[in-house]
Amino acid sequence: MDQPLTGNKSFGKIKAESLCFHCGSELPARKFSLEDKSFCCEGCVTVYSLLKDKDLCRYYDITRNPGVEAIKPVFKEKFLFLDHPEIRERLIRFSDGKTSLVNFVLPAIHCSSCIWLLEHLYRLSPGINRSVIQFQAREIQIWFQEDLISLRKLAELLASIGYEPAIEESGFQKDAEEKEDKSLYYRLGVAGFCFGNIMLLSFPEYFSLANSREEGMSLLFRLLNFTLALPVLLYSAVPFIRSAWNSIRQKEINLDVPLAAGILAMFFRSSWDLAFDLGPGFMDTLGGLVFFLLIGRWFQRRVYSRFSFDRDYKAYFPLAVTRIMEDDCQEILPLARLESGHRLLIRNQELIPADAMLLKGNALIDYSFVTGESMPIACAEGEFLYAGGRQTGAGIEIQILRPVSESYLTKLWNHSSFHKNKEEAFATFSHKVSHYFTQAIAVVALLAAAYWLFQGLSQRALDAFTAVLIIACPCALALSSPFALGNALRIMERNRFYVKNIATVEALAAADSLVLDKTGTLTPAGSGEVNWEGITLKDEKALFTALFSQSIHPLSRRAAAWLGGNVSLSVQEFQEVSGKGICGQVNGLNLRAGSFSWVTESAADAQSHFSADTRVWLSLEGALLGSLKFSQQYRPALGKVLSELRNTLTLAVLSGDGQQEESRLREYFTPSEPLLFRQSPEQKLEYIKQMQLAGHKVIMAGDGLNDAGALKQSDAGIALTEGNAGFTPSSDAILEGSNFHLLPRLLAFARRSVQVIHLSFMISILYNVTGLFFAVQGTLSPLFAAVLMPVSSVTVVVFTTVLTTWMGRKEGLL
Amino acid sequence: MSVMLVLIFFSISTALLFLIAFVWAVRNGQFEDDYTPSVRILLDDVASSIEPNPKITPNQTPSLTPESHASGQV
Amino acid sequence: MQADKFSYDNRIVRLFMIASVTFGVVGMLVGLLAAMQLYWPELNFGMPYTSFGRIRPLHTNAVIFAFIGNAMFMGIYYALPRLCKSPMFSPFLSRVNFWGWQLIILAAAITLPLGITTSKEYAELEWPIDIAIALIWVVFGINMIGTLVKRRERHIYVAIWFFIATWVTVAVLHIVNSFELPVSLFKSYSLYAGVQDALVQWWYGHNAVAFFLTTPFLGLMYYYLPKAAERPVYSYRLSILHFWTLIFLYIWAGPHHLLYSTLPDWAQSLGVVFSIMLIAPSWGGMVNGLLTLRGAWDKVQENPVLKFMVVAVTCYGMSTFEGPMLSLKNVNAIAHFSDWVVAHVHIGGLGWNGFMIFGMLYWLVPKLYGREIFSVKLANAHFWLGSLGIIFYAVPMYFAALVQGLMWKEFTPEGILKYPNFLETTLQIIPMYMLRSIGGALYLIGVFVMIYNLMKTAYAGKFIGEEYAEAPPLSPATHPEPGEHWHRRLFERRPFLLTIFATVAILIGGVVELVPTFLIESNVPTIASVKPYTPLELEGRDIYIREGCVGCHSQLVRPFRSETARYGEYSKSGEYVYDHPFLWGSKRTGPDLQRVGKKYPDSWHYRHMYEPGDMAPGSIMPAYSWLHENTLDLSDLKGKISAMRILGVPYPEGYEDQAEADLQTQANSITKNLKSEGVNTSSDKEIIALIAYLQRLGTDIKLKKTESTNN
Repeated sequence: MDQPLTGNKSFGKIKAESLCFHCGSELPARKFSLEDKSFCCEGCVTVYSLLKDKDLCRYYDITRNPGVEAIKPVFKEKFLFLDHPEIRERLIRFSDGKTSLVNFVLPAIHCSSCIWLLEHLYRLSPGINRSVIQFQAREIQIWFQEDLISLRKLAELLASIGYEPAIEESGFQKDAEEKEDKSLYYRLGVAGFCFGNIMLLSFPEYFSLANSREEGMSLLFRLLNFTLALPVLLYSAVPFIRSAWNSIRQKEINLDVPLAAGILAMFFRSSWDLAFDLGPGFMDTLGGLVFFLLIGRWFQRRVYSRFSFDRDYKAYFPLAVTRIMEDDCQEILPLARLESGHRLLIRNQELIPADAMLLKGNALIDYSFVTGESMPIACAEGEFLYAGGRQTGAGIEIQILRPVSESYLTKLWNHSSFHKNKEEAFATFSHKVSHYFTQAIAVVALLAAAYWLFQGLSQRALDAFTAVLIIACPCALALSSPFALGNALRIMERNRFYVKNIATVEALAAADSLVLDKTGTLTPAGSGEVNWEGITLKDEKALFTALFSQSIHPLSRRAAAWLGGNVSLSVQEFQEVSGKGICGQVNGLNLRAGSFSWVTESAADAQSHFSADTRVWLSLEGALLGSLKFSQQYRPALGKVLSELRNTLTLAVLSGDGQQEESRLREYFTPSEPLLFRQSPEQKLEYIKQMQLAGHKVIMAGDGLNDAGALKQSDAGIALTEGNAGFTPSSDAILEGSNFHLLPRLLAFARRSVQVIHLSFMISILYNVTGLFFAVQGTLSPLFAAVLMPVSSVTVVVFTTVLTTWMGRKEGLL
Repeated sequence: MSVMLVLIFFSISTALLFLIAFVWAVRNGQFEDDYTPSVRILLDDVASSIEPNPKITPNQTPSLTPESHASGQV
Repeated sequence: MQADKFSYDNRIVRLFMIASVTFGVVGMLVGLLAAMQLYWPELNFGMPYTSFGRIRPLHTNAVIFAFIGNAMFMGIYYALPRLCKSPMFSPFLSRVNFWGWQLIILAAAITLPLGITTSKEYAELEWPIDIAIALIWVVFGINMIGTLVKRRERHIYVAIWFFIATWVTVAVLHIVNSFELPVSLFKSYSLYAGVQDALVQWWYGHNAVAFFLTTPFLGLMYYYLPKAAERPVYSYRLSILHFWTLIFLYIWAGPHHLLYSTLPDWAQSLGVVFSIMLIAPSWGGMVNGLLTLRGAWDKVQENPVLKFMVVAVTCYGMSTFEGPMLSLKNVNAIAHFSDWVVAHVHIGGLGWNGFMIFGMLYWLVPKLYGREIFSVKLANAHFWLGSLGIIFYAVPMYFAALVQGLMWKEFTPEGILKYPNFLETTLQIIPMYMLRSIGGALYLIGVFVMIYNLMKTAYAGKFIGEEYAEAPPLSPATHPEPGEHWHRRLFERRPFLLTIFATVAILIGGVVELVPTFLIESNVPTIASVKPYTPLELEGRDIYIREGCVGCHSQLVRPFRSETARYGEYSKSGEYVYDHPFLWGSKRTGPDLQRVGKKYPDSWHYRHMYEPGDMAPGSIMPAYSWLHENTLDLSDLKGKISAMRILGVPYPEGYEDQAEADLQTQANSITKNLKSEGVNTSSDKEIIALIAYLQRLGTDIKLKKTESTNN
């Protein structure tokens, strides 16, 4: 793992002055200044002054502008639920009454400054004893004293300096895999130790110890060898034997079967030889084999604990919600206990956990999670609210209509496609090969044995039989795909393309069609163009900036940003009517902004405020000035990327939003390529399914929760993520949006890597054939085996690694 | 070559010693994080010039005012 | 939460630094002197103390244990506390470590010129010093382990693992190899004899290189290289793999130093195979080091520290590749006993260790004195001088080795040796020796440049004796899963004590193991005609040891036609059963002496030792005229005899009392013989004893050819 940690987000050219001292994002028109430094937003200023106050400014020396961009303001109550004993219980990993230990995932960790700052948390609060970062996992371990700082305050503290913890269900069950982790290491250690020493003790045999006057010694050596081989067989080799056994029980042969056969053959044949003094045996080969195999496993294991590839909807929802009791007092309720009929308080930025009805308040729901539609929807009281929507604006009160699991969004997870495990479904190349391979070996072994029996040489027959199993033990075979694809994974990772496992690489290589989601996939999330249609604005800019910056409506914020005047002007009689618009007095002038009806104070229907192409009309002293047109913006060089993809894949687009963008989207696609809009999650899933039934291997690329079904159903689901947020639906691979343009090359690379495996398979088969030539004659010398095994393995490993790296270069990924 | 025995004895015991150390290391979680340590050694732990003042508790860390709330959104 | 405030002790670092540099200069000067004596023998000033045989070990010891050793301590005493976020366990022990180590070096610097030596390479120091080394090493261990136990950083950085490995293995090696039986305060005999002694010695010899010159510096590389480059090591994963594979393989590579010796075939081949396999982990380390700088070569351009380290790592790669190559039998057949080996070790010493140290110094001094390096120009100058020095050293040596190695093996069409006179082959390579010493001089000049540069830096800056730091204490509840089984508690709570106990246990167990092994009648094939040395020969042998003849003369005829033709019947293990210690040697600057006995008349030896040039015109062997004046010191004779008996040499009971008489008679007969050859001398001179020994060498089986040769 080697992302260079020279943190700052590569604004190389731009002069530091034009960047926010804290986060390095470009300074807006209205920048904040403190001392001689300038900042992009108040959030950054706050953090800076806090760190300065605590003598933590070294943070800024380690890497330039290390801060987290656009610190999401966390509403006061966001972490209230951490006070709930049940939740706390589940989060705290260890507590001795005084000190407690908690693990948080902080998606914002990105550079060495982060590590330094977060490991100096103790300077920020007397309650914190110590904190340790695990960079790759984006995880922090904090030992703290709950009597001095509560779990909630801790979370808030982290959020306040820009490292908001992402607390989700999946965060809880980690320990299991850690255990597995360790056992692999133990097995490696034991195998390595035994291998080294067995080798030492075997060579004397090969180098004619026996016929020098050292029988006593050679006997001792053999005994030691046997003893050292036991742990290899009984401990280190267990995973292979076990998996072989399972696969036999399930009547489908995987590569571990011949491996296990080889291992067992080696052990017993050697024990036999040692016992009856027939030779030194194959113990060293055995040790080496198992050692190499384990190395392979270790190499191929890629845990991006920073990403969770199989999140379900729970991940998106808070662990707890605020329930309003009959007597109108509030209590925190773990999500699990939520039932229909409950009344909930949903605050600004909070998610609606289940389908509900709006009781009180101005709902302005942002469904971007669910539909990909970026424009918030205003809802009137009594209206139906879908689970997964996010309230923007003042708090609202809702009544739950359906339990979480049956809500519109979450129903998706009851769909069959979420219950089948893709890895099993997709037979990897090595699986297929090993099938025939194993049978072939079995036949050869038996034939050889039969032949010698026929010749009446029973001992020879036994030798030949075991020898075949030993020599055919497909060590190289087993190593080639872990190393080829393991290396491929690394190279992809360098390009911010995080692939779940090597099976996925093969799936990506095999695919013949690609289905894309629109918002967040073809368009960077939350981005957009603003066009002004109307009289050219001069002083009005300033006036309306002032007006807009009073409102927290997303459109207002974008409008203000676009107008970009300073906010010094004060606004009187500001008024915001949800679903209509805003108005107020600046410099004694009446300003109105919002829907046409609102601005012109005519009686057109209110909803047109968020019409097909989103517009905000402005009027000054009742005179209509024009309208701001908000439209989406596609990823740079989208056309080029798509045409590259077209060479190998058939394309289609499934979008959750309305038709309005179709015309612009068409520009990028050929008429033959289907563009479907207003697709519900189920529809998307179904669409993929149909393609597969039509015999296609499908890659789905999407970002929203609404793509979750499709991603899951597809042969390889690629989820796009923006920056550090890293909040993705379940998928097989995660691609950082900024690198979307690399997709064609990444897929090409995947295909090449698979070709590499095919080649390396041939090589290892060649080795096996040579070996077999000797084996069948029952004249396999241990030394020969001891040499052939590592040689074949090493060649294959080097071959695959070098070749994949070279391929990576060729694709310009390195 | 009786001395060979001695050498083998010592070598194997030393190797064994390291095996034990290895097991301990894994058990202790030494290899759980195989990246951060390589960065951590680059960051010197210079002593803070000011005494961290005990009065400050997190609830005094800047709570988010509506403005800062508003700013930086979208 | 208040973090612990503490401070790092830079003074100890500075102490080791000064010691390292000072002794470095001394060691290199001695080396240069020795090198020049090879073509200008008079440079020994006619004094025993400065003759080649005695200053060669002085050079190796000074460079390995004083220069590199002190630098190692310097590096560790700076890095370890910072990696553990805790000051060293005990400043007192640190001082003990320092002064103790310097005393040992001092003792070495005195005893070696005095000819007080065990003659075992890299372990020449006599038993009292061996014990001192063991003690100081334990002190160092306690200090290091203690620091680890008190550490505030939970993760043990890979560098520390290398340090631990260094400590454990060097302890084991040193103790096993130093089993010796004292005769007097300054004289002891190795517990092992002949072949067995050789095997142990080279098991030690190789691993000393492995664990004193390599593992600690790999550890230092993993700390200082990233620090200097200001970027994390290329792959931390790989570095972990690097450590563990190295540990499991290195310990085995020893026997390859004894190819074609009378060591059993399988033991030799064993060494070869493991040496070959070592390429993998070694290169893993090199690649990891170099790749750390990928994309930062611009930094390397302007930063001398990185320049030095890059070359150091490259040299490491070269010598770790060359080593295994040398251990291949057919390469070894030519290279062994030649100057190739000398070149090989110097690539490692000058390149890997030296340049690593220089890199560290150029990085450390500015840190310790809180200012930039005085002159980058000078540093670069040093860099080029040093690199040039290495080239001028190594290339001529390789060339010399090839030339001489081939000459030794060359036959005329008639099937007789083309160069029967060894001296011819030596004279061929004298120019190479001259070039080599130029290389050494260049390297040394570079060091002086560095010293000037560093001193300027130091004076301009202000020494920071205490470096204040803070870190939160390690929380008691580090581990989520509380271990309740005893072994867990053992592993988790007291890992380091465990390490110590285990080591101790092994050592005790080992000794127990040893005693029977050595008290049983030697299980090396004995040869009836091989008799113990007579008292006079024994004394002569001790003079041979004292004068360090083994430094230039081997006593091992390998089974090649070229060697049997030149020296005579090849060596058998059985001939060495009474050799405590063995004197096979590792370098043939002069001819092999295994079969020199009875080859020349006594008078020839007498004259030759007095003025080699008279007997062999052009000989580069220094004169040993003092042997002709000094009277033989018999005070230890009794002790020597009984010691030998304890070690299994069959001197009859009570032979001690008769020994001196026997000695006199043999001495007298030699003097008479000399007189008859026209040399007048008294029988109590040391030269007599030496002649007796030389004339005895290898005669045991030369007399009766019909000997059952078995090995």
